[in-house]
Amino acid sequence: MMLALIVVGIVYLSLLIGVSVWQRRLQTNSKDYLFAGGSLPTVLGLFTFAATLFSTFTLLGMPDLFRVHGVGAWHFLAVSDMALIFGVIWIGYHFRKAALRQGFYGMAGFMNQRYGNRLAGGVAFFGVFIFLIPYVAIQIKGVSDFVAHAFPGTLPGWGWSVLMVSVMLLYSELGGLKAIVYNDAIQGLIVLVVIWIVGINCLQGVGGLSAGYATLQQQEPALLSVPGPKGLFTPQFLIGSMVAILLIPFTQPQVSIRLAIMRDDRSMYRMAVGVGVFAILVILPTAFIGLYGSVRYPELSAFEFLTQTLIRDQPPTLAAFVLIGLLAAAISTADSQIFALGTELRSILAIKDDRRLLRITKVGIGVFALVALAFSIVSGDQLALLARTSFAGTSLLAPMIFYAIFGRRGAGSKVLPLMTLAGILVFVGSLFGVIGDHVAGLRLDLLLLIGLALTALGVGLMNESVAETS
Amino acid sequence: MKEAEEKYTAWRICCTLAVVVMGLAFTPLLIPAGVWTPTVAGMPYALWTGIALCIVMVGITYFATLVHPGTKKADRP
Repeated sequence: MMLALIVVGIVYLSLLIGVSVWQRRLQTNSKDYLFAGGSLPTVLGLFTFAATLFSTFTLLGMPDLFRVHGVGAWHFLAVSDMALIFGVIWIGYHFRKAALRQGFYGMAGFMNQRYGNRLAGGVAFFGVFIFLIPYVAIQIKGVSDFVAHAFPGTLPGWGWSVLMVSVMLLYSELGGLKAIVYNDAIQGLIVLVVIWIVGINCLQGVGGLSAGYATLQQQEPALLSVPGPKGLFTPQFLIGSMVAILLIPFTQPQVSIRLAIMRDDRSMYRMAVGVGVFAILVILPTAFIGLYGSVRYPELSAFEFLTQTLIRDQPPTLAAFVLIGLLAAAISTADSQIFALGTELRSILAIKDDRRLLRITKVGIGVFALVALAFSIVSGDQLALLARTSFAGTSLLAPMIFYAIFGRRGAGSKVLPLMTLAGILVFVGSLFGVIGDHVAGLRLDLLLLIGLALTALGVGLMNESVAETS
Repeated sequence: MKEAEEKYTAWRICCTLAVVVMGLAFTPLLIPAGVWTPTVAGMPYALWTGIALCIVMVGITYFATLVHPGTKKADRP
């Protein structure tokens, strides 16, 4: 097993670094480094988008969600992703039209341009920073803790975290976004192949779909329907999750930048359809793994179940690939997020010198990676739920961003950015227990989003009437 | 001109269908609480209807890409 892991690991690392060095040689300016030349074809776009979107929480969180909370997990992620892909072709078109008109350098910079003040960009950057850092951290922590648990006596959890962040920084700083995109394609393929092999093994382990679900019906029938045995998948939770996930391409900069750098609109449309297919293909085997866990290991903790199912119950060579697949899933999401934070920082800096900007961006990427690393050492291990919190947090930026896309330039003034900032602070307050997370039976994140959307609508209507009067 | 109008109508139909399908996705019609029958290939009701819904949505999205009113090549960043 150890030998297989070392061989697969060396091949994987060589590929990542080799691609980065190759891409570094092709770069001529900062646009190549930060925006991958701004011309992604469909297939490359599909894999980088998918690898960025489907992270550790898909591979580790989803099987456990299926195991503990039942089949409603499919609606939580897969069905919500279908809203996302239609949103990409519907809203993505308008986003590209507005964003590319004056040159897109990051969502925060786009906010500055559209609102005509630097407060909007500052709020956008603040929002993505405070919600993305914990998300990056849980990717790193999830996989590091898992590997440390699966291979006791090698490295402690934090040691694996440091190793992952070092690899990620090395190839990101070396080859820029193009290297990340190519590496995402490699890593996306690894993840897809590995998860299917494990999924099929798990299905065979419970005697097939019918036999597996028949056994589950006798053991724990509540897992076969919503809301699940613990009542998690209520309509409100699922709708809230769907809205948060639908908004990801516009509220999470690592995803929106991929829309902006697609070769043309047609490439983006095709990419969206491909992501829909990829979503079904990558989530389906996690349902099989979850079913296996529900039947075989209902009493184990999340880590024990995952270690047993993904590593110990698999042949040694496959287990090595699983481990590399998990590292690939975590790294391919985390690198994009950290890199996007660097790009966002660059987009709000008022510095003209391109070389100096690039230098600051590179330093910024390093600093963000270190902050995420530090956070990963102290954060919790509720992968899927922490990821959802990140989606819900960044979704609060959506009304401000959508107003920038669809509204008149400069019309939003400082009202919407200030309201958005207040909404983010209230949501953060609820996460720390300062404010309750439900108001009159409704989830606070959903209420805040509705409130901000109504504010954006009100600001829009007011501006229209002012424009008509004048 | 007529072709463009037809394309736009088809696009609006796709948008309406997508909104209706996604609107139904979280209602008791597709995920009734505590119900797991009828099953398909052993899969409980909520799971197979969820998978079917995803395939339908991919189909709608694919068709929508063919009739999208904005299919001109755009500027690059």
